[in-house]
Amino acid sequence: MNKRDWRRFPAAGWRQLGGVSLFLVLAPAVLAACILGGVIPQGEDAAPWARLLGLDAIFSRRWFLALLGLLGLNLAACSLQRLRTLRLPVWLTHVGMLVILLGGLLTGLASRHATLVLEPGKTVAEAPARDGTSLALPFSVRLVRFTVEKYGTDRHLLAAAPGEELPLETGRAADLGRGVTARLLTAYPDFMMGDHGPTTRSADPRNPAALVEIRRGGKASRLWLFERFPLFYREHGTDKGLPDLLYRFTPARVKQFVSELEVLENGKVVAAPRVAVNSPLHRRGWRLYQSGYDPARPGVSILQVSRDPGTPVVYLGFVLLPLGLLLTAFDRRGK
Amino acid sequence: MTEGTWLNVALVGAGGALFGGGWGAVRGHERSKCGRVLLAATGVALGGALVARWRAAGHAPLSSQYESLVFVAFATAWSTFAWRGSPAWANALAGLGVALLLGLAALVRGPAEPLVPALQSNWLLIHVAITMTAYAVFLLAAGAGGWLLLRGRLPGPPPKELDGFAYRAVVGGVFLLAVGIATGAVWANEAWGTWWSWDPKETWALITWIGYTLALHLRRTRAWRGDRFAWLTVAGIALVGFTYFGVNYLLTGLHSYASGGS
Repeated sequence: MNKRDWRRFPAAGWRQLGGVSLFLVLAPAVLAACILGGVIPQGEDAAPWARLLGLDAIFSRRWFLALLGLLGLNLAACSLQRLRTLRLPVWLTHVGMLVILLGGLLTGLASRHATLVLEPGKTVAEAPARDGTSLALPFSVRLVRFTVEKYGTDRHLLAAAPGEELPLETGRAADLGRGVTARLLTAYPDFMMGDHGPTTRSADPRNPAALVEIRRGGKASRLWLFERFPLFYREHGTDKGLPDLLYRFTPARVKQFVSELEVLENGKVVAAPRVAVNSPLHRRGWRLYQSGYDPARPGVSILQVSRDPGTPVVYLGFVLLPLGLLLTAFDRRGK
Repeated sequence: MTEGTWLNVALVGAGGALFGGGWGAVRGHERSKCGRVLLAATGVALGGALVARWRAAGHAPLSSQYESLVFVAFATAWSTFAWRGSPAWANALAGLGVALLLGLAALVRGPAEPLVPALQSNWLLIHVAITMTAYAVFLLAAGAGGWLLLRGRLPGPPPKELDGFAYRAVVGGVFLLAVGIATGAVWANEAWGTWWSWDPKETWALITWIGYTLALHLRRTRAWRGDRFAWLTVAGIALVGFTYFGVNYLLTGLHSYASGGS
């Protein structure tokens, strides 16, 4: 390569960087990487062989980020080189994509995420972050109450014959036929024997059980019915003349998880927001999301804490990109 | 009328649009009044089914695979009218698409269920409706592409017209899917605190979008028109199919509630 060729090299490289040919190589490469990451379970769900090959966290690997970075450079160079020749719709589309990539970069570098486990009455101002550090919030949060709202109520069903389930209720006896009635006395979604007798381990229906009063021929008896151990009452009950009884517990569907909070600044309550799924709390650049609860500890709420300066940039890209594509759809010259 | 009755009317209408539009196309007619009226009736009936479902469920009927399939069928019927006064062959194409989609919907039909907390948002209607319309438009593009590839064995409109239809449909679909992905990201940020988490559904929607943008670039810069572009629309619908069905049934993620009847 002579001296003149060397002088040409940066210009040629710059042209290649903004070239369609590079895009036609990069886009399938990104596509292939995304397909790999979309098919192979990532993160904690990854299989041992995927971990071994480094395919358990494709989207955070350097080579994948480098691909995205190169794609961003390709878009930027293409948009700059064709500033005068590229039609406005196409240019807007490219710039929109570029802005989204920049927003993603900002999110990756500067966003902070943490998890807050809130117990009723306790005030918290720090949250453990994913990287093991602790995030200090510019305010404190206190959980007043956490509730799991449900559609309707839990249902207890009893079948004395196949396919004929009757609702078991505390106030009313269910007629099982042949002169046998049943009434619900008490129920436990996750039965266990505690220090003071039967109790429930959690609100999760892992071992549903019901104490039922059975009346047969004027004689009343009490039976323990377990959904998972249908023969228990046969093995441990005294009344051998009972029909086959099958107990089933159907918990009401969850409608919403709601955390009633108090926000404190300088020791004073300054707000009392209600945080639910799809209704986060926005305060001083931070967002608190209802992300879960602990079935083993009723009343405890789990919130996700997040601060992401990349979001407004990404949202700008979400406006520019579709706008460019919309104009492209009406651009007769581009046909 | 009940939801089931509306769907039966829609199925009959779709069959009529297929045969009416198809007959017109075979006879060389540019327009088929019969096919167009029947397709419009199909669209109205599908709208009726969605309204009936909405009233029964108490929320926008877009929370299950069945409900979204009915919406895709609805969008397929109406999208055709955006193409130059809905030619006869496009009526037939849409009629076939609606019939197939309703057949699939019948396989996964389930009762209307109350919304899980994650879906209780106005974004449900916006995000899902836009994304499903994108899928409908891609389906029409693949239909036109498939018809183009079968020319010679199947009577139909001029290849140039099918190619133009497929291209315009892909451009429209890419725009709609971009808006669908963007609204989904905004919703995810409101619900989960992050606008992108490489959840399988998100990833596959992005794969589909990149796939179609690649097709557009190949067409514009490498002159992949006609048969080549037709093959790309067929490959594209395979990506849509995996994003729409495959992810729900084969992969687990934040969108797992979308599978099955509930």
